Amino acid sequence: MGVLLRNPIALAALAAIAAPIVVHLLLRRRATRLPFPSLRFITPSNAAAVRLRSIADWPLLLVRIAIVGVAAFALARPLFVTPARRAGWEDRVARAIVVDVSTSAAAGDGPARARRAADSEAEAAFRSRVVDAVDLFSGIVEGVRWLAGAPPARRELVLISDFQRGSLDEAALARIPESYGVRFVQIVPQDGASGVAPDLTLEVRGRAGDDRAVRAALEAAGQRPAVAPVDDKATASVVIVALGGPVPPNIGPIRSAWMASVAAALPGVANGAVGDRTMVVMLDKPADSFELPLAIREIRRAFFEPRAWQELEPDRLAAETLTKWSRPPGQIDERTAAHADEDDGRWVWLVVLGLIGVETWLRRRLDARVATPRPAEDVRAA
Amino acid sequence: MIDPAVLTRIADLELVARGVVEGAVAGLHRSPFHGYSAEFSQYRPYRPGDDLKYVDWKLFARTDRIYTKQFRETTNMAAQIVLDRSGSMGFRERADAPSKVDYARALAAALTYLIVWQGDAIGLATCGDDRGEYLPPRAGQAQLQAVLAALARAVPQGSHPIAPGLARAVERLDTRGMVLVFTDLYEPDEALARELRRAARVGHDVVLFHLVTRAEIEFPYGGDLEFVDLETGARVLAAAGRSAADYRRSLADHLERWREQATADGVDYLRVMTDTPVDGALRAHLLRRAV
Repeated sequence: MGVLLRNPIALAALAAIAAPIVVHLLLRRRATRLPFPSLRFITPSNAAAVRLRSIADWPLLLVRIAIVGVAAFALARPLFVTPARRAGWEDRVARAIVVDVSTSAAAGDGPARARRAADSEAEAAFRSRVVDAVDLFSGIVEGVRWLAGAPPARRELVLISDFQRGSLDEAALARIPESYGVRFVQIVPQDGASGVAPDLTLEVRGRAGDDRAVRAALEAAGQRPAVAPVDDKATASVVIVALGGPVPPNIGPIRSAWMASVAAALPGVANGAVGDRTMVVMLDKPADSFELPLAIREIRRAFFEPRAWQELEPDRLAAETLTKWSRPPGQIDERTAAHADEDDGRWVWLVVLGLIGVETWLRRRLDARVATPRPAEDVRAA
Repeated sequence: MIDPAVLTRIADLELVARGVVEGAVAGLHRSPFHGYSAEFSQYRPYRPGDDLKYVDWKLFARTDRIYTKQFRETTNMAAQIVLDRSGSMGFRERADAPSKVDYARALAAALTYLIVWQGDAIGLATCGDDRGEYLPPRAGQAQLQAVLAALARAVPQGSHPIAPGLARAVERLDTRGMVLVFTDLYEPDEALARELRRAARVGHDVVLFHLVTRAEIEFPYGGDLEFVDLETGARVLAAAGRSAADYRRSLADHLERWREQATADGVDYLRVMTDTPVDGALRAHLLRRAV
């Protein structure tokens, strides 16, 4: 059985142990003064003189020191980790539930299904927290942070998402401690199943002729060529973003095969998706949509927030991959006991009360003993 | 019987003295101070045990009733009370108990009352510090009042021995008389014993009332105590319980030594415990002297 202190700084109060010692020395028993007719027949006692200068009653002093010491211990909020208590901790699970609220997962009935799944997971947990995250990586970070400070229990991270490809990888999962369980609940929205954000529209920008190049590439890829000329308000399905400078290095490749093939056909675009100054985004909305300003903002955000880029990824992680990454919660880490939301301080305070009672009894007994003159019978018995 | 505790509550010494004397003398058939001439006082009906020589046979012949003659003793005895009022006489074993000087005052007042009542002279010398009082022996009610007033003023303090005061009082007694010494005998033994012996040898009837409290005899104390000498203010720390046996032994030796010394010197030694009724103590004294 171990003992944990939930408020160890309170042990500084142990310095107050000096107080009863000082009080004991200051209030040590003085000899009762007794006027007497003559000292002629009284033998002075050196032992009595010595006794009066020293600590008179060790049991009383020890009890007083114990009261202060145990009170300091109680203030430190001790937690006795018994086998039974540890078994209780092992039987419960603290669960961080990361709900993907990105645009793709929020399509159709996704939010409602995700919420139901989250509620179900929360109900089965001893303690839980739902983390809404636009991207899973930040959700994992937040969930791990909360679990690290959760009360003693086995720990589990549940990810609820449509799991677009690129939204999760082994590097992100490496942020989760080994002892934490990981589970994936895949919610695929019934509407907008393409995975492409349905409310995104396009803005066509670029050099003259880029629209034609895109159209040709689309036709070559078997897509319907509906690309409007630059600055034309006609319908289009391709966004060509011409940047004033190089593409930021944190912009990942376009993973969708068909999108990559279109990008590859464009002149000046390397690696199939990202060129030095251009970016190709495939959309299925007309260029004259009133949602154009929103689309512009979203695309710009995509360049500076790489995760948002995944909104445009239509493919999802395979179920086998998610199963492979899943694991059950491990044994309780000893360090988690420090975050217990309970302590045994009340029992220690009871001990303090008991000690106060003992101190009172000892003090009264001492007072009665010191009271003089003592009956003659007592003297004779002594 | 007058409870000693009552002494602490009665300020009127004459009242105390009268009560003590009435309690002590009742039933006594003979004057304790015999050997002096007496004058007729009154008749009273004969009671079994009365001395037949005091029966007035002529009156019996006339009235057919037996009366005993009572006499008022008219003597020229002079008695001198010497009262130790040193600090140690202020000791009392409880707050509601009389101090030794309270007890001595009551006993001395009773004797004064008795002596004045039988027409003798009484004087008083209080000793204890430099302001001791001295009243030469005189007879009469005025002297009774003066002695009682002086007794009432006797406050215990200081550490002066009473031997010099006793010597002066004895020197001033012109005729052979009675010297009544009230003390607790906490002073150098030799000087006081010498003066007592001297007083007895010049023919005075010396009575030594040794006043002792029960606490002094039994020493019923325990624990660590700081004893303070009532006369000198000196202090001694002692483990009372452990030193009790030595104390009792030493005190018993002291008491026995004084008893032997007094007896050897012809001094009438009477140890008086302050928790005994005063009239009882007086009666015991009178009975001893009546033998």
